[in-house]
Amino acid sequence: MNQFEHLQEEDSGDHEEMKDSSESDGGSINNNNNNIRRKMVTPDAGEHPLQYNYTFWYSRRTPSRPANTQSYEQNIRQMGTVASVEQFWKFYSHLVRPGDLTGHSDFHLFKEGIKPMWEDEANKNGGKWIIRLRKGLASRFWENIILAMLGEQFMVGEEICGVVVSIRFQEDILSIWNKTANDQVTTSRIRDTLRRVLNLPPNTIMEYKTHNDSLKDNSSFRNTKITL
Amino acid sequence: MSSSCEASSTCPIPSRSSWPPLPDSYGQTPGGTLFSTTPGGTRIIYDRKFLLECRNSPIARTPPCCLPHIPGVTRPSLQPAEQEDDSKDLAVDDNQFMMDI
Repeated sequence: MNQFEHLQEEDSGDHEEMKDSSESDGGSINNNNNNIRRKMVTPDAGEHPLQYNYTFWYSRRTPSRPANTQSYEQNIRQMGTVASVEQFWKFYSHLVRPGDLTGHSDFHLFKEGIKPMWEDEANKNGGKWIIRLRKGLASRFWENIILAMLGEQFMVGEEICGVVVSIRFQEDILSIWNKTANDQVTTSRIRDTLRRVLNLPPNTIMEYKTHNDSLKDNSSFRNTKITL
Repeated sequence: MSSSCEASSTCPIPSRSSWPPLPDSYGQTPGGTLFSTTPGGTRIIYDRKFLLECRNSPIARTPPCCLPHIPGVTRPSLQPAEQEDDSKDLAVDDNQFMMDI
């Protein structure tokens, strides 16, 4: 039990104000919680367990700075992990809605142990569906996609890795990442479930991009494959 | 020999899309949870309605113990008025969904 007490002590001091990402270039204290100290997160008595634990992440970037893997990893931070429906609402209710985020920001909700990065083991053969939203829709769509994921509505076994909402200048983008990009049965089922749970108009354009392609052109949202 | 028999009528094999949707009550345990058995074992499934109902439980409303302080991103206290807006906003059968996105 001693090592867990030690972890708890470390944790209580850890949650200081996040430094502006532009200050935390290499060498300085990596204060963004990414060294995953695995305290076991479990549902408490009386709570409704989730099929998986999920971790909330937040990232922000000043658009003028070019992104590379190293800077991306420094700009993204874990916020907390949840194991039950109630724990999820605790966290979610204490986050601002994505529509109220400023600048070039993202919320990520990923299965515990999977980093929202192309290079993570779980993501290297994967890809994502993306849906572009005009301004004003992000908060509602984000909530609906999260609830569908937490509630296991996608029915694709272990394939779902996580979801992201990306706030950008003129549009917002919803993404759902899965492990195996070339598994068309899985990707089709995810697409169909998205249409249903997000109530998408029939002519909604949905785009798929493999993370390999993203790595090659160093871009999350350009050069996607378009599906109607 | 069998010329007096009537030919059986053909019928297309029913496809998944023609099956009626799973009734809400199918396989449900009290509390809106569906425990379904899939090849990988039992999965815990919650529908949207149930998840939203859990939001109002007293457990869910207390702040999480380890919420980091990120101004503009995390908020230490709930704002009640905004909470109501959230649930109003998210009706699935809202007409707004038919707008071009």
